[in-house]
Amino acid sequence: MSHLIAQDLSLAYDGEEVIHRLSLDIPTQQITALIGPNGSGKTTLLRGLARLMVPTRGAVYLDGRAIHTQPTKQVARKLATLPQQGSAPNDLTVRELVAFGRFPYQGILGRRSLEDEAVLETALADAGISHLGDAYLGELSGGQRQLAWIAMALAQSTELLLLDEPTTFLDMAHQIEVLEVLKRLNANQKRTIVMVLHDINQAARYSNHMIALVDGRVAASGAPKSILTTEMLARVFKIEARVLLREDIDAPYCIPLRSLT
Amino acid sequence: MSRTSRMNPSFVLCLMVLAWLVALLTGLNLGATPLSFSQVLNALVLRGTWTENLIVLEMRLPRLVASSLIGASLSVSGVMLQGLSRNELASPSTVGVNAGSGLGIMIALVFAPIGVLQQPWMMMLASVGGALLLTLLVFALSYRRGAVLPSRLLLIGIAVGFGANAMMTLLSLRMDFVTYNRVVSWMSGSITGGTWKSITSLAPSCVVLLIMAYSRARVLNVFALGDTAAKGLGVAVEWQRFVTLGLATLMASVCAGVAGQIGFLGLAAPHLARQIVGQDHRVLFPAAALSGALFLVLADSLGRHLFSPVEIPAGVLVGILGGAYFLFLLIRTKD
Repeated sequence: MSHLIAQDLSLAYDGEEVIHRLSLDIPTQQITALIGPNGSGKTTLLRGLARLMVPTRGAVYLDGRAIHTQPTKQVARKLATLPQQGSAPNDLTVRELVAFGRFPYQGILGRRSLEDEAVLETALADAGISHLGDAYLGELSGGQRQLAWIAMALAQSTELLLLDEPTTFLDMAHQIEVLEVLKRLNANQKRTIVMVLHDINQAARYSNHMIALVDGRVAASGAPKSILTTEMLARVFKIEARVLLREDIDAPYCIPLRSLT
Repeated sequence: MSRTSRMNPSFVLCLMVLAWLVALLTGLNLGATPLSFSQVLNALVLRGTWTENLIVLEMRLPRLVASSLIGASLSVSGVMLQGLSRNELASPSTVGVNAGSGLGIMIALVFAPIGVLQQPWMMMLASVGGALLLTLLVFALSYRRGAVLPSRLLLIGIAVGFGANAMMTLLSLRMDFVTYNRVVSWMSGSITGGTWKSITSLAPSCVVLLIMAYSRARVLNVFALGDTAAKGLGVAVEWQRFVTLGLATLMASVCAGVAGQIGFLGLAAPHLARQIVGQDHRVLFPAAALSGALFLVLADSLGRHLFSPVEIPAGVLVGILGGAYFLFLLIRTKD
């Protein structure tokens, strides 16, 4: 079981510190949502957790070892990450894109093994895009393209899945579709998912654990029901809001009333 | 861009090999001394007259072999530079590799004692050394915040390349007439140095470098997804970029040491290959090697033939052919 934690982690761009001595523990086999206002460091933190940034202080530990000291290809077998907006050549087919997910398992020539092929088809099916395997990326809608990228991350066969705003740029139907796919992956395959989300209500509905960031520090963390409060919304997002409990799915949701700034 | 009409890659590669062989045979036929096709074939199996054998086996064939090696290497070098910078306009001449080898050769011509200059390895050494130093400088200047951004790499390559060209102009001002002539003929890029002797040193390095280049194919494919995705997939992006850049520099400068500046080839030949086989580097590398070889064999043979006995340097003809090819593409894709 892969376990990801950050200890005393500081991350900086060009000498400007964005994340300040932050410590957190990603609960395994659960969905964690990173929330916070713009500029709070959500994306930076996710990049740090995915070893895409070198910490200026502290470290991220994957299974007890600092993630930066581990061979990057080995990390890629335990942890997959999805950029906010992936760019891939339009004349690539979905299956070709998803096949890149097998990169960490292949040798120099990259012959696909039978296992690779099987994983590839499963990844397509899990992302719900089996019928699009031979379509060119250029022909896809934004939502389908996002699912193709998710399928690529799935093909890495990792327990950990880190996604940066997987629903941004998508219309509502596709947002829900992507989130449902992630929820299924967590429920059926026990994958640990960490995602940055902008929409607090989506975060509350689709995650088991929420971490709210303000100015590069953890402002609140815990189960949605315990941290989604009027007090937290005022402190973190600077809004006055009403928080209600949806009884049909047992998740809280908030109605913003006015800005407090 | 769709590719619905794309054929089986191995079939296309076979066709390209065939085209290259035809070009080789044509090249053996062309030249200042008119030889019939059967005379050429006879000479190839050592059944011609002494002169025919000499012309075909000692003059024409080595040039064609050298052209093939150099064309293939320059083209593959271009593919690597384009892949690592994710920009199809990158080539040895645009990122400062050619300028580096030019400067190295020029410095050698001006400052090295004449005894050293006569050594056959000297030009190669000066070319490779100059190019590697300049590329290292470009890479070091592009390195920022623990990363080398492709766009930055290109821009700095262009800037440093211009700087090197300026220094070359400066150096040429204090040259004597003979040295200056050598420099100009080197700058125009010609395969006149293509002898069996130069091939014995050129061929092993080209073949080794081509094989090493091919081993980067999968990494370059992943580069196309962007740095973040590539890192996520377990590619040590900066290190791979450094290695690829080093390989591309070596390939281009080894060739420049023999044939001088054949600038446009590293841009046009990869482009042609991309049009035919697409973006998968596992197929693109052999296709680009073949298109480069074909391109340079044609350019050199035409250059020898068109105004014989006066020879047009291959570099000049590549510029004309490649430029025409690009114009054709631009005009055709109006929409």
